[in-house]
Amino acid sequence: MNTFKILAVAVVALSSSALVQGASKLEAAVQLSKGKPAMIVIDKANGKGKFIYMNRQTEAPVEVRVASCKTFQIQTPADLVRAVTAYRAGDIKGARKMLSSVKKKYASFVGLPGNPSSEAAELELMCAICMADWESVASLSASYPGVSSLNDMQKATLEVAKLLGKISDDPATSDAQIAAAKALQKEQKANLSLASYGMLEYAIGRAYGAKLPASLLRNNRLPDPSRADGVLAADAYCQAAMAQRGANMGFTSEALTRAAKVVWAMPGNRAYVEELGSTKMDRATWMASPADFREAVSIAFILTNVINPDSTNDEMKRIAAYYFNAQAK
Amino acid sequence: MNRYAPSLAILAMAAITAPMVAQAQDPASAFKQIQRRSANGDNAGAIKLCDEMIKNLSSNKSRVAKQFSHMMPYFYWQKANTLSKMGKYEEAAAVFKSIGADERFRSPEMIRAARQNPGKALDYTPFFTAGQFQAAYNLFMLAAGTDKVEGKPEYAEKAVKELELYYKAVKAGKVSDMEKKQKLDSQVCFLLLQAALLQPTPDYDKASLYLAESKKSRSLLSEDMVMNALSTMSKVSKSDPKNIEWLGAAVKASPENYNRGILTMAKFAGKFLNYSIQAGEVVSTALKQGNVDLAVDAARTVMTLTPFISENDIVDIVFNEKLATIGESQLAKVPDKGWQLSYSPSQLKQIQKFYAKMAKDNMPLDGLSLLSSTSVVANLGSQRLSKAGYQLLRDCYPNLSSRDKEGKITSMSGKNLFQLSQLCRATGDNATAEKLEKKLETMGVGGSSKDTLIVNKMARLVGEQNWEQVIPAADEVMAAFAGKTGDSSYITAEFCKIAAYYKLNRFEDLVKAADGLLKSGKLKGDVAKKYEPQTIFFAADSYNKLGAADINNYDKAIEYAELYMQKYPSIDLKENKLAANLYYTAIDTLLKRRGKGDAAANAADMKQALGYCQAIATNWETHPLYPVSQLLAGSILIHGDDESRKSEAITLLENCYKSAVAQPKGKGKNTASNALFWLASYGPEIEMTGESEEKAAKRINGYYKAFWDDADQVGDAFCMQMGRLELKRSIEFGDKVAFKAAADHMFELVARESVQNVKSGVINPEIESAFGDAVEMYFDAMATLDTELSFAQKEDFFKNFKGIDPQDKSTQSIFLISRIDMESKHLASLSLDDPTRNEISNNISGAFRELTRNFAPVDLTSYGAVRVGNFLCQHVAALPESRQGEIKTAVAYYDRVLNDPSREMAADATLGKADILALSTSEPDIKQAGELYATIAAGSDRSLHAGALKGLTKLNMRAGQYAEAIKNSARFLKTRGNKIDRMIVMMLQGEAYAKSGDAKNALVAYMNIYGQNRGSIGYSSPACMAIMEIMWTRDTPASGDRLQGNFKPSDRWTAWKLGRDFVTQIVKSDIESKLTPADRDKFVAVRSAVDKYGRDAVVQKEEKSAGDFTQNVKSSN
Repeated sequence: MNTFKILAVAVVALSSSALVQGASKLEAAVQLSKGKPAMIVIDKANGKGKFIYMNRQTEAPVEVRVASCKTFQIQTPADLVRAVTAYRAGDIKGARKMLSSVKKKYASFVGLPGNPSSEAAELELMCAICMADWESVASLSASYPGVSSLNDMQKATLEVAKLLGKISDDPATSDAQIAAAKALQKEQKANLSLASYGMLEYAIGRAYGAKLPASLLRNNRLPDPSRADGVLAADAYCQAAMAQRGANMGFTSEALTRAAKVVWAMPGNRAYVEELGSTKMDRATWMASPADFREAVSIAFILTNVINPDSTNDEMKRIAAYYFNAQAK
Repeated sequence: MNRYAPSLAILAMAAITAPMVAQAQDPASAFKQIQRRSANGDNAGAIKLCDEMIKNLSSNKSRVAKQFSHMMPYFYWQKANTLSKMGKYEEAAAVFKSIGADERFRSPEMIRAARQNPGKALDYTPFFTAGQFQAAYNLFMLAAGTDKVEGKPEYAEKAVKELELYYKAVKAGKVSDMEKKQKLDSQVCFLLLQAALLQPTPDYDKASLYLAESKKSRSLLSEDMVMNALSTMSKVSKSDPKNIEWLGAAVKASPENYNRGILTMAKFAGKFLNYSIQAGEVVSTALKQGNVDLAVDAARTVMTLTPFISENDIVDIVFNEKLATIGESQLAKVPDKGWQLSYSPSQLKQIQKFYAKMAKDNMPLDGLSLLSSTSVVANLGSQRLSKAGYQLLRDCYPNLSSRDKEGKITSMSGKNLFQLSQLCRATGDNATAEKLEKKLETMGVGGSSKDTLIVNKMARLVGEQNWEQVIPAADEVMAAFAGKTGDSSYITAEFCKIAAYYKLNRFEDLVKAADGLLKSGKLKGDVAKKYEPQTIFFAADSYNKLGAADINNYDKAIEYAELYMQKYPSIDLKENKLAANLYYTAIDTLLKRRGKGDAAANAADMKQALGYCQAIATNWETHPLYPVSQLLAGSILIHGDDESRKSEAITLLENCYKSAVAQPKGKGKNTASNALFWLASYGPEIEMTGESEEKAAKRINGYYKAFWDDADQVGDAFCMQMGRLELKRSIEFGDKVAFKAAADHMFELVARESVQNVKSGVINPEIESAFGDAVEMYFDAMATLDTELSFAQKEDFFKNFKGIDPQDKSTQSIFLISRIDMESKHLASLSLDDPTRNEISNNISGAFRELTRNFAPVDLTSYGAVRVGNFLCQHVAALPESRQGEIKTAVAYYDRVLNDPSREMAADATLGKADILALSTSEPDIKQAGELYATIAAGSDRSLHAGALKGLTKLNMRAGQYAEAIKNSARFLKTRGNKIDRMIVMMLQGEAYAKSGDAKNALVAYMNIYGQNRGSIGYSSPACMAIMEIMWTRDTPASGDRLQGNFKPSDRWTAWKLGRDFVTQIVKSDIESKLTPADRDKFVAVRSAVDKYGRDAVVQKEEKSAGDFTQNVKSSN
C-alpha cells in the first residue's frame, strides 16, 4: 500500500468519528518535518501560526508551527463546503448566513493557513458587497478577523470594503470620497485585484451620483449642468461592472442599474422618449436618437438580458425594450 | 476515462477475496493480473486474459469453473472496462449491455455471489443496472468523442435511449444500493442533456428537460465530468452556433459545479477562455445576422464563463500560499476530503509555470477574458461599457498580447488603445480621445485602425482649425486611400484640404484642387450633397480673390457662382446654407471685374450685380447680408454713370444704414458706418428731387450725426476717414469754430484709436493714412482760418499731442513718420543755401534713428517699416563699406512687412530688401538680392519693375556681367522709371557698353544722358566726362577737307570741345553756385579734363585751324 492509501484508511477511520462532529476542531493532513504524512485533529491554534493536536500514541498535546510542516492541509469542514457551494450557486443570502456561522465557529483557528473562519469571513464580506449592504460591509470590514495574516491583496481588498462601507450618498462628502477612492487606487495599484479596483470605481460612481439632484434623477430629468457629473458617475459604474468580468453578479447588476439610470436621466432623453411615443424602433429612428438614449437602452438591455435575465427591475426592462440591433446587415 | 467502471471492480475484489484459492490461474490471481496489465497499459493482454477466464469459466466442466462461475460477469465487466479505456466505446457498450442480457448471470447463485453484504439480499444487481449505465455511458462517449477521439454524433440518439432507460430505473429506485449512494441523478441528466444536444438534429426540448432535471439535485459532479461536458457542448456549438446557449445554460444551471475554487479552476482556465472567445464570436456573427436572441445567449455564455478565469495575480498568490504549505509534501496528492479533492504539488507547480509563461508573453488569461467580455458589450452596442472595458485594459493590462490566427503572438496594446480612443470620441470625451490618438500616432498602429486614426487626426485638426496641419493630414489620408479615390474618406480629405487652403488664403492651390474634385465626377449622391456646395463656393470665392493677379479669374469665379445658383437654387438657408454668401461673392466679383475695362461689359456686370443685390434683398430680408446688399447696390449706383439713378443710391444707402443698425448686438455697425461715410462723402454731390439746399445740408449733417451716434465704435474702419471728411468739410465751409471742433474731434479719434490699438492688439490701419492727411489739412487750415503755425509750433504739435497711449508704439511711430514727412516736405521747400537745411536734415535723420532705436520692426505699420528700411538703405548706400552691420537691421524691417499676412506693402519691402542686400559684401546676400530683383522683375506689379531692373543692372556691373547689364538696362529703359533712376541706369548702360568694348553704343548712351539732362550736373558731368574719355582714347584723327565740306574733326578735339562747351554753359547759367559738394566735384573733374585736353598740341593745332578756317570764311564773306 502506498502512502496515500494509508492516509485514506486513516481518513476513513476518522471521518465518521465524533472527533469533529459539533466541536470546533479541524482535521488536517499534516506531515511534520520529521515523520510521515498523517491525518490529525487540530484542537486549537494560537493565532500566530502554531497549532495544538493530541498525539494519539502518547495522548499528549503537541504544539507545532505550521511553518515547520512539510504538509499542512486543513480538511474543509462540511459546513464551509455547504456555505461556499451555496455562494457559488448564487444563493448569496443563504450563503452569507452560513458563512457568518462558519466564521464564528472556527474563529479560534484564524492564523492557520486555509482556516475556514478566514475563508468564510472573506466570502461573507463579499456577500454583503454583492447585496449592496453597505452598513454590514462597514461593520464586517471593521471587525475582520486575522488582519495581520492577510496577504497584501487581501489587505487592499479590505481597505476597499472599508471605503465602500462609507457610501452615504451625501453630496457634502462626495469629493472626499472620490479623493479617497482615487488615492487608494493609486497607492494600492500593485495590490488591488481587478475586481477590487472596479469596486472603488463603484464608490467613485456613487460619489458623483450623490452630486446629482436626487429628485430630478428619479424623474429622469437631469438638468444640463448635471451632465458632466452624470457622465463621470456612469463611466465609473461601467468600469465597476466591467472589472467584475461577469463575477459578483449582484454587484455587477447594481452598478449597471445605476449606470443605466443615470444615463437614462440625462438631459434631453425624457423629451425624446415623449416625442418618440409609441413609434416602433427601426434603424433610422435608432440612429437618429440621442447618444445618451441609445447608451441607456444598451446598458439596460445588457443588464436585463445578459447579466441578470431574472431581473425584476421593471424600469430597466422598460428601457431595454427600446433596444435595436444596429449591427444587423 | 470512464470514472464509473472501476467502482464495480471494488465489488469484484470483495467477491474474489472471500473464496480465495491459491493457484496460478485461479480467478482471483487472474483478476489481479488483469488489473495489473491494465494499469501497465497492457490492455490487449488484459482483454486476452479476460477472454481466457470467461472461456474457462463458461466451460462449466472443471471444478474451478463451477466454483468460480459467479465471477464470470466480473471478467466481462473488466473486459468492457478495458475496452472503454482503449476508446473502443462501441465494443465496450456491447459487452456492458451483454452482461444484463446474459441469462446465466441471473441464476440465484450468481446473484447471491454478487452480494456485497452476504447477510443482506440485493434488491438490484449492479451488474445489470450499473451495466446498463455503463453501456449508455460508453455510447455517449462514442457520440461525444474525446480530446483524442473524434465523436460520432450519430450514436447520440442511441446513447439518449440507453441513458433514459437507466434514468428511469434511477428515478424509480430500481438500482443497486451502491448506485443509490453515488447519487447519479444529476450526472445522468447532465449526460442526457449533452447527448440530446449532440444528436445530428439536436433535441432541444429534451435538453431543456434534462437541464431542468439536473438542477433538482444539487450534488457536485466530478471535475472531469463537468469539463468533458463543456468540451462536448463546445463542440456542439462549433457545429452549430445556435447551440452556444447550452454552454452557458449548463454552467449557469449549476455554477457550483464549475466554480471549484481557484486551485482547481486554474487548471481549466485556458479552456474557459477558449469557450468564451468562441461564444464571443457567436455574439458578433449573430448580431450581424440579426439574430439578437442567439447573440444574447452567447453573450450570457461569455459572461458566465469569464469569471471562472481567475485573475493572474490572485492565482499567483493562492498557488504560492498553497505550495508554501504542501510544496514539500511526500504525498503525490494531498487530500481535502471536504471538497473531495486532492492537490498535487507537482501539478500546482506546473499550472503556476503555465500562468507565469502566459504573463511573460503578456497574455494573462484574465486580461484576455476582459478583452473578450469587452468585445461582447461593444457588440451589443454599449459604448460606455466597452469604453470602461478598454480603459481597464489600458490601466491594468497595457501590454496585452494575443495569438493571431497563425498562432503568432501579437500585441493588442495599440488596438486596444485605438478602440479606447474611438470610444472616448463616441462618448463625447474628445480631449481624452485626442490625447490617445496623438499617442497612437507615435505608436504606428497598422491596418484599418491606422486608416481610421489618420482620418480622425485630420478631423481633429479641422476641429482645432489647425489648417496648416490639416493639409499634410489630408495628404496622409489620401495616400492611405490612394487605391480607393472614390472612398468617402478620400473625398473628405480632398474637401478638407480645399477648406484648409481657403482658410490659409492659398487660393491658387485651392482652385487647382477644387477644379479637380468638381470635375472628377466623384461627387455624387450624399457625398455631393455634403461637399459640392461648399467646394463650388470656395472655388468661386477663391477665383474672385485671384482676380487681382489675373483679371480672367473673375470670369471663372462668376462661372462657379452661376453653377452654384443653377445646381442649388433653393433659397431656404436651412438646406442651402451658403446661398446668401454665394450671392455676395458673385456681387463682389462683378464689382471687381467691371467688364475688364470694357464699358459695355462693365454696364452688364453692374446690372448683374444689382440683380444679385436685389435677390439678397428679396430672399433674405433678415440675413446679415441684407444691409450689405443694400450698401453694394448703393455703391454701384453711386459710382455708375447713370445720373438718374444716383438718388436711388442714396435711398439704398439710407436703407442699408437703417437695416444695419437694426442688426442684433450691434453686428451691423461696420456696414452702417460704411454707408454713412459714403452718404456723407457723395451725398452733397447728389441732388435729390425737390429737395432744397438747406434741407439737403441738414440731411448731410444728419449723416454725420448718425455716424457718430449710431455707427461709430472704437476700431471702426471708417471713423478716421469720417473725422477727416468732417474736418475737410468744416475747412471748406470756412467755419473756424466748426474747423476747430472737427480738428479736436479728429485728434481725439486718433488718441482713442491709439488706446484701442494697445487694448486689442489690433492696429487700426486707417490711423496712418487719415492722420497724415488730417495733420496736413490742419496745418494748412490754420494758415487760412487762424494763424499759420511756425515750424517750431508744428514740431510742438507732435511733441505735445495728448492722449496717445505711451505703449502704443504703432501710433507713436505713425506720429514720428508723419513728423518726418512734414519735415521732409519743409526741407524740400527750402533753397539749397537755406541755413536751416542742415538742422532739418539732421532732425529727419534723428527721427529715423529714434525709430530704429526705440521701435522694433513689429511696432511699425507696413508703411513705417518700409520707410525705415529705405532710410537705412540710403544710409548704408552712402558708405557701404563701413555700414555693412546695418544691413541686417534694415532687412529685419523689410521682413516684418514680408511676414505680415496682409501682404500690404510687400512688393515695396521686397524691393527694399533686395536693394539693401545688394549693398552687402557677402556673396549669399548679393545672390539673394539678385534673386529678389529677378522675382520682382518677373512679377505682376509693374510699378516695381524699374526698381528691380535698376538693381539687377547694378549687380550685373558689380559682377562684370556687362552683357546682362546691357540687357537689363535696356529692359529698364522700357519701363516708366523716374528720371533719376533713368539717368543712373543710362550711366550704367554706357559703362557696360564701354567695358565690353562697344564704344559706339557707349557714346550713344552717354550722349543721351548728356543731351537730355544737361542741367542735372550730378549725371551730365560724369556723362560728359565719359564721352570725353572714350573719344580721347579712341583718338580718331581729323579727316576730310573743310573747304569741301567733308571735314571730320579729330576725336581729341571733339572731346575737348564737348567739355569746354559744357563747362562754359554751366558757368554761364549760374548753376555752378547751387551745386552740391558732390556735384561740384564731378563738374570740377570735367573742367580739369578740359584744361588738360586743351593743352594738347593736336587739340591746339586743330582749334587754331578751325579758328583760322572760320576767320577765313568770315573774311571771304
